[in-house]
Amino acid sequence: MTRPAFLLTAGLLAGTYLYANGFTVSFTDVTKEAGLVHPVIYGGVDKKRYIIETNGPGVAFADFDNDGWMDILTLTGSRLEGFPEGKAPTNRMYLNRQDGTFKDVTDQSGLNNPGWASAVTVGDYDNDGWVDLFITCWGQNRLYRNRGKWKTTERFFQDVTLPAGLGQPETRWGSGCVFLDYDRDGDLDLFVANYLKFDLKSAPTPGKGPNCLWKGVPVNCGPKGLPTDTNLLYRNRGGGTFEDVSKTSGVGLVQGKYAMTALVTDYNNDAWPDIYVACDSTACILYRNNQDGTFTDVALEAGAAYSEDGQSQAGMGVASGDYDGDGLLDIFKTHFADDLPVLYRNTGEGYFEDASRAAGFDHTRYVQWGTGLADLDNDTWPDIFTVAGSVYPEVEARLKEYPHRNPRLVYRNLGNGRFQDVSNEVGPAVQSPYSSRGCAFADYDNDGDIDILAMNMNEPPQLLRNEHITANRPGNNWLKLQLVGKRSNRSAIGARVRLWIGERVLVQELTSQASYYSSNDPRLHFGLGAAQSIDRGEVRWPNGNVQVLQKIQPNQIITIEERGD
Amino acid sequence: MTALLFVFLLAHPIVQAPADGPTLAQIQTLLENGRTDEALGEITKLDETTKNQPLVQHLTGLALYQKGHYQQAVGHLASSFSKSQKGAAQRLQAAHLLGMSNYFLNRLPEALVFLAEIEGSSFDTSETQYLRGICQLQVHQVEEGRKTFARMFSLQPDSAASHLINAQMMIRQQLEEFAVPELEKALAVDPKLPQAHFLLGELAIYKSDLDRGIELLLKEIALNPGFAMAYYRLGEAYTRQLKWDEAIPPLQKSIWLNPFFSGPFIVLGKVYLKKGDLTNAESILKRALAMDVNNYSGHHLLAQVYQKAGRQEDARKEFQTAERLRSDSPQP
Repeated sequence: MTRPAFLLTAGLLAGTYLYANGFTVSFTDVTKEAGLVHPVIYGGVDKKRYIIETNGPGVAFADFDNDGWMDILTLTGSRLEGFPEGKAPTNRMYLNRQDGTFKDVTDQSGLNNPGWASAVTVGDYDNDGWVDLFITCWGQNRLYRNRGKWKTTERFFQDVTLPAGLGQPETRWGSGCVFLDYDRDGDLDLFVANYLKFDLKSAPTPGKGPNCLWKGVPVNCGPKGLPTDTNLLYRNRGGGTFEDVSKTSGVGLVQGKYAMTALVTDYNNDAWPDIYVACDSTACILYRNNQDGTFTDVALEAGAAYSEDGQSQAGMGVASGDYDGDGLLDIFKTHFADDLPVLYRNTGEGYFEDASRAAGFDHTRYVQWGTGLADLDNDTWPDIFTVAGSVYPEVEARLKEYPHRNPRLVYRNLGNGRFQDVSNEVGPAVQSPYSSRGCAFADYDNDGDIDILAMNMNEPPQLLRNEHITANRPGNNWLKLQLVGKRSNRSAIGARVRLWIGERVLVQELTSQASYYSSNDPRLHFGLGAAQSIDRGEVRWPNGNVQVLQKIQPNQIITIEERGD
Repeated sequence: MTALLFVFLLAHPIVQAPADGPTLAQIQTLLENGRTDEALGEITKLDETTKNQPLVQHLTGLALYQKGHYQQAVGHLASSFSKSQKGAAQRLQAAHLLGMSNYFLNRLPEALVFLAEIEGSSFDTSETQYLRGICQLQVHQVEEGRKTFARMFSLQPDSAASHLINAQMMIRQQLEEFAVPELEKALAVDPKLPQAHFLLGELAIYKSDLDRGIELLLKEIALNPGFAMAYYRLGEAYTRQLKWDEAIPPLQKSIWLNPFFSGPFIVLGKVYLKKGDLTNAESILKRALAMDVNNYSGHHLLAQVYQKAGRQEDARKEFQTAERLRSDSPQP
C-alpha cells in the first residue's frame, strides 16, 4: 500500500477538530473544478409524462484503471422525443487525475450506449484483476468487461452481454442490480431486480387514469396500477458466462413487488450473503440465502418488509451499517414525500425492529432517494446522508410546499442511537437544491474522509468534497481497507471486516450496490475517532474464512489480500 | 350503481321517440331490466345509419356504462350529449353519465364540466353533488367546492361548519395543504367550532409538528371533551414522541368513550409492545382484532408481540394473516 504523501501531515496531527456544533464536517461543491460538466439527461425537465422519465439513475465510484484512485461513472437516460443521430446522451466515465480533477474518457470507454439506464454494480466477475460493470436499463441490460487496456488507445470496456448469456428477449425495466457470490464458489454471480412492466404504447398519460393525480395535480401515472415484474438471479458458470437460475433459486418466484435498489448483506450472520431489495409502494424483499443455492423471501417475518405498523412504504434507496455500535448491520431505507425513512435495527435474532422514530426520524416533505450510512466525521459512528428530488416537476407551480429541487439531508449520528439533522450546518453546498436520485460515497481525493457524488436530473452531477480533513485540519483518525480476494471473488464482495478499538467494535461489509442504484468506493472506510491504534481486526472473506489483522496503524489505506492457504 | 341507474331510467324515461319503433324500445327495456349484454347484442343488429342516431348512441353509451366500460361509454354519450337539446332529459342523463364515467376514469376536469351541467336538475343527487365537490377540490376550486358541499349538507356557504366540511373533504382527498387555511377560516368564524382544532391537530401531526399537534388536540378536548377521536390521536401523537406512558391515558379514555372503534386498541397494543409488556399487548390487540378482524396493522403488531415472546410459529401465522389482508398489494 502506498499512502499519499500529502496525508502524512494529517496523520501526524490526528486529533479531533470541533466545529461549533461538534460535528466537524462541511462540504464544498467542487463539481466544476473537478471537470464534471456534462448534465445527466433523464426525461423532461418541467414535465414528465411517464414514470420512465422519473426514476433516474445511479452513479458509481470505482477504481477502473487500478491506479489507487476512485474514478466516476454517471449513467444516462434519454428523452421521449429522442435525439438526432449521434446526439443522444450517453453514460460518462471520468478518470481520476489524482489532483482533484477528472478526465472525461467517455469516448474511449466503450460505454457509449444511449438509452434509459437505471442502476450500476461494479465487480470483477471474471477475476482478472479489473473491475467490470453491469448496468440495468429499460431495455437490454448491459455487462461491460473491463479489458485492462488503460494505457492504450483501445476501448476500455467491451459489451459482453450477449456472449455472457445475459440477453433478454423482451423489453424489461431493470432496476437494482448487485454482484454477489451467493454460492461461495469464488466467482461473482449477479442479482437483477425489475421495477415493473412498462410499455409506452399502453401506458396511461398524466391525469388520465387511476394513480395519475397527486394532490389534485395531473402527474405521470404509477407505479400503482402498472403491472409488476419478477427479479432475476444469474449464476456465474465461469468462463465468462452466466446461467439464469431465477426460478430454481426461488428469486424469480417472488411476485407483486416494484423492486428498486438491491443490497447484499448477511443480515443473519451465517456468513452467506442475503439480498435486501427496497420496493416501491409494496413490501420489501429480504432474500435469505438458504446455503443451498436457493433463497426465501423472509422480509415479513424478519420485520423488514413494512413499517412497524405494517404499512408499505415507497422504498427507493437503501444503505447498511452498524448505526448503534452493537456489531450488527442495520438497514436504512428512503421513501416518498410525507413519509419517514425507515431505520431497521438488527436485533441479532434474525429480525429487525423499526427504530426510525427512536432514532429521531420523522416525516419529511421530500422524496428521498440515494443514501448512505457513512462516517462523515470519522468519529466511529456512521452518519446518514440522503439526496432528494420530486418526481412531479409539475406540482411546484401549484404547491410551493413541494419543490421539484430539494437540498440534501445530513444526519449526524450522536452515538446514542439517535441522529441529529445537521443539514443546515455543513455548508451551503448541501443546501443547493437539485432533483437528485443516485449518490455514491468515496474518498476520491484519498485524504481520509468520505466525499459524495450526487446525480442530478438534467443537470451535471454534484461532487461534494468533505472538508473534515484538510491540509490545515487533521480531523479524526481513520483507516481504509482495500480487500483483494484470492480464493474468494477477487473484488471481495460480501467480505465483512470487524475492528476492535477499546470497547467499540466497528463492522462493515463490502457490497457492490447501495444508496440508490449506485456503487460506492469499494475500500471500506472506518472512522477511528481519537484512537491511535486498532486493538484487533478481522476479515471474514466471502467464502467464510476469517483472517486476523494485526498491527494496524490509523490514517492509511491498506490493501489486504486473502490468504491463499 | 346499477340500482341507481334503474332509478334514473324509471324516473327519467327518455321521451324522444325511437326512430325504429319497437326495436329501440326493446333495447331500452332490456337496459331498464339490467340485461345489458342482450341490449348491446340488439344494438349490434341495427344498421349503421340507425346506430349513429343520437338515441342509439345514448343507449349504447348507457349499456357500456352499466358494464363499467367507461372509456367506450364516453364516446357514445358525448355524441348523445352534443346532439341533444339543452335541458332535455336525454342530454341531462348523458351529462350525468359522462360526469360519472370521466370521474371513474380519473378525468376530473372533464367530469366537472358534465357534473356542472346537471347542477340543480333532477339528476343532481347527493352522489353527483359529492362527486362535483370532489372534482372541484381536486382541480383546486376551493370556494366552489365549499359551496357544493354546503348545499349537500344544507349549510350556509360562509358558515364555520361549511369551511369545516370542506376541509374534511380536502383531507380525505389528501389535499392537506388546502385544508389548513380552510380550517383557520372556520375558526375565525367560530373559535369554538367542534372538530376544527382536532383536524388542525391531525394535520400538524401529519407534517411532523408534534408539539403543535398535541397542543391543538388538547384545545379540542377542552372544547369537546366527549370526542373519542381526539383522545385517540393524542395518544397516537405521544407514541410518535416515544412517550409511551403519556400515551396510555388518552388511549384508554378514547376506548372508554367509544369501545367500538379498534384504532385506540391497536395503538395501545403497540404501546404495551414497546414497553415490553407483552401480556397486555397481546390481550389488547386480540380485543382489537375481535372487533376488527381484517385490520392488518393489528395482525402485524400481534405478530411482533409473538415474535418478541419467542412464539415464532404464532408470529409467522399472524404475519401471513396480515399479508393476506393487505389490499394494496398489486397483482403481477
